Amino acid sequence: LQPKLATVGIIVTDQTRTKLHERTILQYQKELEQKNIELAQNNSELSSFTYIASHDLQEPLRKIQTFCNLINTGPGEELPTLTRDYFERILKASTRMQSLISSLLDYSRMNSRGMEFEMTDLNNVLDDATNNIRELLEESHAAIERETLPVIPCVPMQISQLFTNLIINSIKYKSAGVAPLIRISASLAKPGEIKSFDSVRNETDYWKIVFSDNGIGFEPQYADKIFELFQRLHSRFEYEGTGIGLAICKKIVQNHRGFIYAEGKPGLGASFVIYLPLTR
Amino acid sequence: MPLRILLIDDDDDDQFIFMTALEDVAPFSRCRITGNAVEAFEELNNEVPDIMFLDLNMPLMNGFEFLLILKSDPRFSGIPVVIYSTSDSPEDQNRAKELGAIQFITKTADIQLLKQDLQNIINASPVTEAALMR
Repeated sequence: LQPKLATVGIIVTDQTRTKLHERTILQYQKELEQKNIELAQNNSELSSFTYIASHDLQEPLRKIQTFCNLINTGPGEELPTLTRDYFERILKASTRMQSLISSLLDYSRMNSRGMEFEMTDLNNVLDDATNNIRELLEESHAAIERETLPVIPCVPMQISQLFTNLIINSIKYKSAGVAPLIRISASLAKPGEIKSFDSVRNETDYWKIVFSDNGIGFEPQYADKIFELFQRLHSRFEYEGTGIGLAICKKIVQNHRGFIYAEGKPGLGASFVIYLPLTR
Repeated sequence: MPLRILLIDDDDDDQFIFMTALEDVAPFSRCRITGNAVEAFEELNNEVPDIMFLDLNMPLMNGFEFLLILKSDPRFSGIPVVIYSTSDSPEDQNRAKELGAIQFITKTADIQLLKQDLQNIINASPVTEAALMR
Protein backbone atom coordinates (compact mmCIF):
# COMPACT_ATOMS: atom_id res chain seq x y z
CA LEU A 1 0.00 0.00 0.00
CA GLN A 2 1.24 3.46 -0.80
CA PRO A 3 0.12 5.71 2.05
CA LYS A 4 -0.16 8.94 0.07
CA LEU A 5 -2.49 7.50 -2.52
CA ALA A 6 -6.17 7.50 -2.03
CA THR A 7 -7.55 4.06 -1.62
CA VAL A 8 -10.79 3.14 -3.24
CA GLY A 9 -12.50 -0.05 -2.23
CA ILE A 10 -15.13 -1.44 -4.48
CA ILE A 11 -17.53 -4.09 -3.26
CA VAL A 12 -19.43 -5.79 -5.97
CA THR A 13 -22.48 -7.81 -4.99
CA ASP A 14 -24.50 -9.74 -7.44
CA GLN A 15 -28.05 -8.37 -7.05
CA THR A 16 -29.43 -10.30 -9.95
CA ARG A 17 -31.09 -12.96 -7.82
CA THR A 18 -32.60 -10.45 -5.42
CA LYS A 19 -33.88 -8.38 -8.30
CA LEU A 20 -35.35 -11.46 -9.90
CA HIS A 21 -37.06 -12.37 -6.64
CA GLU A 22 -38.44 -8.89 -6.32
CA ARG A 23 -39.72 -8.97 -9.83
CA THR A 24 -41.40 -12.34 -9.30
CA ILE A 25 -43.02 -11.17 -6.08
CA LEU A 26 -44.25 -7.99 -7.73
CA GLN A 27 -45.60 -10.07 -10.58
CA TYR A 28 -47.47 -12.35 -8.18
CA GLN A 29 -48.77 -9.38 -6.27
CA LYS A 30 -50.10 -7.84 -9.48
CA GLU A 31 -51.78 -11.08 -10.50
CA LEU A 32 -53.30 -11.46 -7.06
CA GLU A 33 -54.67 -7.94 -7.15
CA GLN A 34 -56.11 -8.58 -10.58
CA LYS A 35 -57.72 -11.83 -9.37
CA ASN A 36 -59.18 -10.01 -6.38
CA ILE A 37 -60.72 -7.40 -8.62
CA GLU A 38 -62.19 -10.09 -10.87
CA LEU A 39 -63.51 -11.98 -7.85
CA ALA A 40 -65.16 -8.88 -6.42
CA GLN A 41 -66.71 -8.14 -9.81
CA ASN A 42 -68.01 -11.67 -10.18
CA ASN A 43 -69.46 -11.59 -6.71
CA SER A 44 -71.25 -8.33 -7.17
CA GLU A 45 -72.46 -9.32 -10.64
CA LEU A 46 -73.78 -12.57 -9.26
CA SER A 47 -75.63 -11.00 -6.39
CA SER A 48 -77.10 -8.23 -8.51
CA PHE A 49 -78.07 -10.82 -11.11
CA THR A 50 -79.90 -12.89 -8.50
CA TYR A 51 -81.58 -9.81 -7.11
CA ILE A 52 -82.62 -8.25 -10.41
CA ALA A 53 -83.58 -11.56 -11.97
CA SER A 54 -85.80 -12.53 -9.10
CA HIS A 55 -87.23 -9.04 -8.72
CA ASP A 56 -88.01 -8.56 -12.41
CA LEU A 57 -89.21 -12.12 -12.84
CA GLN A 58 -91.90 -11.50 -10.28
CA GLU A 59 -93.49 -8.79 -12.39
CA PRO A 60 -95.05 -10.78 -15.25
CA LEU A 61 -95.82 -13.55 -12.80
CA ARG A 62 -97.86 -11.26 -10.58
CA LYS A 63 -99.91 -10.23 -13.61
CA ILE A 64 -100.58 -13.82 -14.63
CA GLN A 65 -101.82 -14.42 -11.10
CA THR A 66 -103.88 -11.25 -11.01
CA PHE A 67 -105.70 -12.02 -14.24
CA CYS A 68 -106.23 -15.67 -13.34
CA ASN A 69 -107.68 -14.50 -10.04
CA LEU A 70 -109.94 -12.09 -11.88
CA ILE A 71 -111.17 -14.89 -14.14
CA ASN A 72 -111.66 -17.26 -11.22
CA THR A 73 -113.54 -14.78 -9.08
CA GLY A 74 -115.38 -13.33 -12.07
CA PRO A 75 -118.57 -14.66 -13.63
CA GLY A 76 -117.41 -18.23 -13.11
CA GLU A 77 -120.68 -20.00 -13.87
CA GLU A 78 -120.19 -19.10 -17.51
CA LEU A 79 -116.91 -21.00 -17.71
CA PRO A 80 -116.89 -24.69 -18.61
CA THR A 81 -115.62 -26.86 -15.75
CA LEU A 82 -112.56 -27.91 -17.71
CA THR A 83 -111.58 -24.32 -18.47
CA ARG A 84 -111.97 -23.44 -14.83
CA ASP A 85 -109.74 -26.37 -13.94
CA TYR A 86 -107.06 -25.17 -16.37
CA PHE A 87 -107.11 -21.73 -14.83
CA GLU A 88 -106.75 -23.19 -11.38
CA ARG A 89 -103.75 -25.19 -12.54
CA ILE A 90 -102.16 -22.08 -14.07
CA LEU A 91 -102.76 -20.26 -10.81
CA LYS A 92 -101.26 -23.06 -8.75
CA ALA A 93 -98.16 -23.28 -10.95
CA SER A 94 -97.62 -19.54 -10.85
CA THR A 95 -98.04 -19.50 -7.08
CA ARG A 96 -95.36 -22.15 -6.92
CA MET A 97 -93.08 -20.09 -9.14
CA GLN A 98 -93.75 -17.09 -6.98
CA SER A 99 -92.56 -18.92 -3.88
CA LEU A 100 -89.45 -20.19 -5.67
CA ILE A 101 -88.55 -16.69 -6.76
CA SER A 102 -89.12 -15.18 -3.36
CA SER A 103 -86.95 -17.93 -1.87
CA LEU A 104 -84.22 -17.01 -4.32
CA LEU A 105 -84.60 -13.41 -3.26
CA ASP A 106 -84.34 -14.33 0.44
CA TYR A 107 -81.20 -16.30 -0.35
CA SER A 108 -79.61 -13.47 -2.33
CA ARG A 109 -80.32 -11.02 0.48
CA MET A 110 -78.31 -13.20 2.86
CA ASN A 111 -74.97 -12.04 1.48
CA SER A 112 -71.91 -11.27 3.52
CA ARG A 113 -71.63 -7.64 2.51
CA GLY A 114 -72.28 -5.04 5.16
CA MET A 115 -72.31 -7.58 7.98
CA GLU A 116 -71.88 -5.98 11.37
CA PHE A 117 -70.45 -8.34 13.94
CA GLU A 118 -71.06 -7.82 17.63
CA MET A 119 -70.28 -9.87 20.73
CA THR A 120 -73.54 -11.71 21.25
CA ASP A 121 -74.93 -14.05 23.86
CA LEU A 122 -76.30 -16.90 21.78
CA ASN A 123 -78.70 -17.81 24.60
CA ASN A 124 -80.55 -14.56 23.89
CA VAL A 125 -80.47 -15.24 20.18
CA LEU A 126 -82.00 -18.68 20.75
CA ASP A 127 -84.69 -17.08 22.97
CA ASP A 128 -85.52 -14.71 20.11
CA ALA A 129 -85.64 -17.53 17.59
CA THR A 130 -87.98 -19.67 19.71
CA ASN A 131 -90.18 -16.65 20.46
CA ASN A 132 -90.58 -15.96 16.76
CA ILE A 133 -91.93 -19.45 16.16
CA ARG A 134 -93.77 -19.87 19.46
CA GLU A 135 -97.04 -20.77 17.74
CA LEU A 136 -95.42 -23.45 15.61
CA LEU A 137 -93.70 -24.90 18.68
CA GLU A 138 -96.99 -25.02 20.58
CA GLU A 139 -99.02 -26.48 17.70
CA SER A 140 -96.48 -29.23 17.10
CA HIS A 141 -95.97 -29.88 20.86
CA ALA A 142 -92.25 -29.60 20.24
CA ALA A 143 -89.88 -29.65 23.18
CA ILE A 144 -86.46 -28.02 23.19
CA GLU A 145 -83.73 -29.16 25.56
CA ARG A 146 -80.90 -26.70 25.58
CA GLU A 147 -77.48 -26.33 27.12
CA THR A 148 -75.90 -22.99 27.87
CA LEU A 149 -74.66 -21.43 24.64
CA PRO A 150 -71.54 -19.29 24.34
CA VAL A 151 -71.00 -15.60 23.67
CA ILE A 152 -69.38 -15.08 20.27
CA PRO A 153 -68.83 -12.32 17.72
CA CYS A 154 -71.59 -12.68 15.14
CA VAL A 155 -74.43 -10.98 13.30
CA PRO A 156 -77.32 -11.70 15.72
CA MET A 157 -80.07 -11.44 13.07
CA GLN A 158 -78.38 -14.03 10.91
CA ILE A 159 -77.71 -16.48 13.74
CA SER A 160 -81.31 -16.08 14.87
CA GLN A 161 -82.38 -16.97 11.32
CA LEU A 162 -80.03 -19.97 11.40
CA PHE A 163 -81.49 -21.27 14.67
CA THR A 164 -85.06 -20.63 13.49
CA ASN A 165 -84.53 -22.47 10.21
CA LEU A 166 -82.96 -25.47 11.97
CA ILE A 167 -85.81 -25.76 14.48
CA ILE A 168 -88.47 -25.36 11.77
CA ASN A 169 -86.68 -28.03 9.74
CA SER A 170 -86.77 -30.47 12.67
CA ILE A 171 -90.46 -29.84 13.26
CA LYS A 172 -91.31 -30.18 9.59
CA TYR A 173 -89.60 -33.54 9.29
CA LYS A 174 -90.86 -34.94 12.60
CA SER A 175 -91.66 -38.63 13.02
CA ALA A 176 -95.34 -39.47 12.75
CA GLY A 177 -97.09 -39.73 16.10
CA VAL A 178 -94.12 -38.54 18.15
CA ALA A 179 -93.75 -35.05 19.57
CA PRO A 180 -90.61 -33.40 18.19
CA LEU A 181 -87.72 -33.17 20.61
CA ILE A 182 -84.83 -30.89 19.71
CA ARG A 183 -81.64 -31.05 21.73
CA ILE A 184 -79.22 -28.14 21.46
CA SER A 185 -75.73 -28.59 22.85
CA ALA A 186 -72.59 -26.47 22.85
CA SER A 187 -68.95 -27.34 23.50
CA LEU A 188 -65.50 -26.31 22.33
CA ALA A 189 -64.37 -28.17 19.24
CA LYS A 190 -61.62 -30.77 19.67
CA PRO A 191 -58.57 -31.06 17.42
CA GLY A 192 -59.22 -33.27 14.43
CA GLU A 193 -62.98 -33.32 14.62
CA ILE A 194 -63.98 -30.82 11.95
CA LYS A 195 -64.48 -32.60 8.64
CA SER A 196 -62.91 -30.97 5.58
CA PHE A 197 -61.09 -28.54 7.83
CA ASP A 198 -59.01 -26.16 5.75
CA SER A 199 -58.83 -23.03 7.81
CA VAL A 200 -55.76 -21.17 8.98
CA ARG A 201 -57.12 -21.32 12.49
CA ASN A 202 -56.77 -24.11 15.01
CA GLU A 203 -59.80 -26.31 15.40
CA THR A 204 -59.88 -25.47 19.10
CA ASP A 205 -60.75 -21.92 18.08
CA TYR A 206 -64.32 -22.97 17.29
CA TRP A 207 -67.49 -23.55 19.24
CA LYS A 208 -69.41 -26.64 18.26
CA ILE A 209 -73.17 -26.22 18.44
CA VAL A 210 -75.35 -29.21 17.68
CA PHE A 211 -79.08 -29.35 16.94
CA SER A 212 -80.33 -32.96 17.16
CA ASP A 213 -83.86 -34.14 16.63
CA ASN A 214 -85.95 -37.30 16.81
CA GLY A 215 -87.46 -36.79 13.35
CA ILE A 216 -87.52 -38.93 10.25
CA GLY A 217 -83.81 -38.45 9.54
CA PHE A 218 -82.38 -38.99 6.05
CA GLU A 219 -80.15 -41.30 4.02
CA PRO A 220 -76.52 -40.41 4.88
CA GLN A 221 -75.56 -40.06 1.21
CA TYR A 222 -77.74 -36.92 1.01
CA ALA A 223 -75.95 -35.16 3.87
CA ASP A 224 -74.41 -32.55 1.55
CA LYS A 225 -77.28 -32.31 -0.89
CA ILE A 226 -79.76 -31.02 1.67
CA PHE A 227 -77.78 -27.77 1.98
CA GLU A 228 -77.93 -27.04 -1.75
CA LEU A 229 -80.26 -24.39 -3.13
CA PHE A 230 -83.68 -25.80 -4.13
CA GLN A 231 -82.59 -29.37 -3.36
CA ARG A 232 -85.22 -31.45 -1.63
CA LEU A 233 -85.37 -35.07 -0.57
CA HIS A 234 -89.15 -35.34 -0.67
CA SER A 235 -91.82 -34.54 -3.20
CA ARG A 236 -93.87 -31.38 -2.79
CA PHE A 237 -96.90 -33.52 -2.13
CA GLU A 238 -95.28 -35.05 0.96
CA TYR A 239 -93.73 -31.85 2.30
CA GLU A 240 -94.29 -28.31 1.14
CA GLY A 241 -91.43 -25.93 0.63
CA THR A 242 -88.90 -24.68 -1.87
CA GLY A 243 -85.67 -26.13 -0.51
CA ILE A 244 -84.24 -22.86 0.72
CA GLY A 245 -84.14 -23.18 4.55
CA LEU A 246 -80.97 -25.20 4.91
CA ALA A 247 -79.27 -23.43 1.98
CA ILE A 248 -79.72 -20.20 3.92
CA CYS A 249 -78.31 -21.93 7.04
CA LYS A 250 -75.18 -22.85 5.14
CA LYS A 251 -74.82 -19.35 3.71
CA ILE A 252 -75.11 -17.83 7.20
CA VAL A 253 -72.51 -20.17 8.67
CA GLN A 254 -70.16 -19.44 5.74
CA ASN A 255 -70.71 -15.72 6.24
CA HIS A 256 -69.37 -16.30 9.76
CA ARG A 257 -66.42 -18.35 8.47
CA GLY A 258 -67.78 -21.45 10.13
CA PHE A 259 -68.72 -24.96 9.08
CA ILE A 260 -72.00 -26.82 9.04
CA TYR A 261 -72.89 -30.38 8.24
CA ALA A 262 -75.67 -32.81 8.85
CA GLU A 263 -75.71 -36.37 10.07
CA GLY A 264 -78.71 -38.62 9.91
CA LYS A 265 -80.17 -42.04 9.48
CA PRO A 266 -83.65 -42.80 8.23
CA GLY A 267 -86.03 -43.08 11.17
CA LEU A 268 -83.37 -42.16 13.71
CA GLY A 269 -83.41 -38.39 13.51
CA ALA A 270 -80.97 -35.85 12.22
CA SER A 271 -78.19 -33.78 13.76
CA PHE A 272 -76.97 -30.47 12.44
CA VAL A 273 -73.44 -29.69 13.55
CA ILE A 274 -72.28 -26.09 13.40
CA TYR A 275 -68.80 -24.77 14.10
CA LEU A 276 -68.48 -21.05 14.70
CA PRO A 277 -65.20 -19.22 15.40
CA LEU A 278 -64.54 -17.97 18.95
CA THR A 279 -63.09 -14.76 17.56
CA ARG A 280 -63.38 -12.93 14.28
CA MET B 1 -117.31 17.40 -7.62
CA PRO B 2 -115.85 13.97 -8.22
CA LEU B 3 -112.69 12.87 -6.44
CA ARG B 4 -109.85 13.74 -8.80
CA ILE B 5 -107.13 11.10 -8.97
CA LEU B 6 -103.87 11.08 -10.89
CA LEU B 7 -102.13 7.76 -11.51
CA ILE B 8 -98.49 7.85 -12.60
CA ASP B 9 -97.47 4.40 -13.79
CA ASP B 10 -95.72 3.32 -16.97
CA ASP B 11 -97.16 -0.20 -17.01
CA ASP B 12 -100.30 -0.81 -19.11
CA ASP B 13 -101.42 -3.86 -17.16
CA ASP B 14 -101.00 -2.14 -13.84
CA GLN B 15 -102.98 0.86 -15.10
CA PHE B 16 -105.73 -1.53 -16.14
CA ILE B 17 -105.70 -3.39 -12.82
CA PHE B 18 -105.74 -0.11 -10.89
CA MET B 19 -108.70 1.21 -12.91
CA THR B 20 -110.61 -2.05 -12.49
CA ALA B 21 -110.24 -1.83 -8.72
CA LEU B 22 -110.97 1.89 -8.61
CA GLU B 23 -114.19 1.64 -10.65
CA ASP B 24 -115.41 -0.85 -8.10
CA VAL B 25 -114.62 1.09 -4.92
CA ALA B 26 -114.95 4.68 -6.09
CA PRO B 27 -117.25 5.02 -9.09
CA PHE B 28 -117.62 8.69 -8.18
CA SER B 29 -113.94 9.37 -8.86
CA ARG B 30 -112.31 10.67 -11.99
CA CYS B 31 -108.88 9.23 -12.73
CA ARG B 32 -106.33 10.54 -15.15
CA ILE B 33 -103.35 8.41 -16.08
CA THR B 34 -99.89 9.34 -17.18
CA GLY B 35 -97.15 6.94 -18.15
CA ASN B 36 -94.18 8.87 -16.83
CA ALA B 37 -93.27 11.37 -14.18
CA VAL B 38 -92.14 14.07 -16.59
CA GLU B 39 -95.56 14.14 -18.25
CA ALA B 40 -97.13 14.16 -14.82
CA PHE B 41 -95.90 17.69 -14.23
CA GLU B 42 -97.73 18.82 -17.36
CA GLU B 43 -100.87 17.15 -16.03
CA LEU B 44 -100.39 18.93 -12.70
CA ASN B 45 -100.15 22.28 -14.46
CA ASN B 46 -103.53 21.57 -16.07
CA GLU B 47 -105.27 20.43 -12.94
CA VAL B 48 -104.26 19.69 -9.35
CA PRO B 49 -105.69 16.32 -8.27
CA ASP B 50 -107.07 15.47 -4.82
CA ILE B 51 -104.81 12.46 -4.54
CA MET B 52 -101.97 10.90 -6.51
CA PHE B 53 -100.82 7.31 -6.95
CA LEU B 54 -97.20 6.99 -7.91
CA ASP B 55 -95.17 4.07 -9.24
CA LEU B 56 -91.49 4.01 -8.26
CA ASN B 57 -89.68 2.21 -11.04
CA MET B 58 -90.25 4.26 -14.19
CA PRO B 59 -88.11 5.43 -17.12
CA LEU B 60 -86.84 9.03 -17.40
CA MET B 61 -87.62 9.93 -13.80
CA ASN B 62 -88.31 7.48 -11.01
CA GLY B 63 -90.94 7.93 -8.33
CA PHE B 64 -88.50 9.11 -5.67
CA GLU B 65 -87.07 11.81 -7.94
CA PHE B 66 -90.57 12.90 -8.83
CA LEU B 67 -91.64 13.02 -5.19
CA LEU B 68 -88.63 15.11 -4.22
CA ILE B 69 -89.38 17.74 -6.87
CA LEU B 70 -93.11 17.66 -6.16
CA LYS B 71 -92.70 18.26 -2.44
CA SER B 72 -90.34 21.19 -3.00
CA ASP B 73 -92.95 22.97 -5.13
CA PRO B 74 -95.40 24.89 -2.93
CA ARG B 75 -98.15 24.58 -5.57
CA PHE B 76 -98.12 20.80 -5.33
CA SER B 77 -96.53 19.92 -1.99
CA GLY B 78 -99.93 19.59 -0.32
CA ILE B 79 -101.23 16.85 -2.64
CA PRO B 80 -101.38 13.52 -0.83
CA VAL B 81 -99.20 10.94 -2.62
CA VAL B 82 -99.62 7.19 -2.30
CA ILE B 83 -96.83 4.97 -3.62
CA TYR B 84 -98.10 2.14 -5.81
CA SER B 85 -95.14 -0.10 -6.53
CA THR B 86 -93.99 -3.70 -6.81
CA SER B 87 -91.36 -3.03 -4.17
CA ASP B 88 -91.84 -4.55 -0.75
CA SER B 89 -88.49 -3.48 0.64
CA PRO B 90 -88.50 -1.62 3.97
CA GLU B 91 -85.77 0.72 2.63
CA ASP B 92 -88.06 1.90 -0.17
CA GLN B 93 -90.96 2.26 2.25
CA ASN B 94 -88.91 4.35 4.67
CA ARG B 95 -87.53 6.49 1.88
CA ALA B 96 -91.02 7.14 0.52
CA LYS B 97 -92.20 8.15 3.97
CA GLU B 98 -89.23 10.49 4.43
CA LEU B 99 -90.05 12.10 1.10
CA GLY B 100 -93.60 12.73 2.25
CA ALA B 101 -95.70 9.89 0.80
CA ILE B 102 -98.75 9.20 2.96
CA GLN B 103 -98.95 5.50 2.22
CA PHE B 104 -97.23 2.65 0.41
CA ILE B 105 -99.22 0.05 -1.53
CA THR B 106 -97.25 -2.95 -2.73
CA LYS B 107 -98.66 -4.43 -5.92
CA THR B 108 -99.81 -7.99 -5.31
CA ALA B 109 -101.68 -10.58 -7.31
CA ASP B 110 -104.74 -10.07 -5.12
CA ILE B 111 -107.00 -7.35 -6.48
CA GLN B 112 -109.18 -7.58 -3.36
CA LEU B 113 -106.25 -6.28 -1.30
CA LEU B 114 -105.83 -3.38 -3.69
CA LYS B 115 -109.54 -2.59 -3.44
CA GLN B 116 -109.35 -2.59 0.35
CA ASP B 117 -106.33 -0.28 0.35
CA LEU B 118 -108.01 2.06 -2.14
CA GLN B 119 -111.22 2.06 -0.12
CA ASN B 120 -109.38 3.00 3.07
CA ILE B 121 -107.37 5.73 1.40
CA ILE B 122 -110.38 7.21 -0.36
CA ASN B 123 -112.51 7.06 2.78
CA ALA B 124 -109.80 8.93 4.69
CA SER B 125 -109.53 11.63 2.05
CA PRO B 126 -110.99 14.99 3.17
CA VAL B 127 -112.50 15.41 -0.31
CA THR B 128 -114.49 12.20 0.09
CA GLU B 129 -115.67 13.35 3.48
CA ALA B 130 -116.84 16.64 2.04
CA ALA B 131 -118.60 14.84 -0.82
CA LEU B 132 -120.37 12.49 1.59
CA MET B 133 -121.44 15.38 3.82
CA ARG B 134 -123.24 17.01 0.94
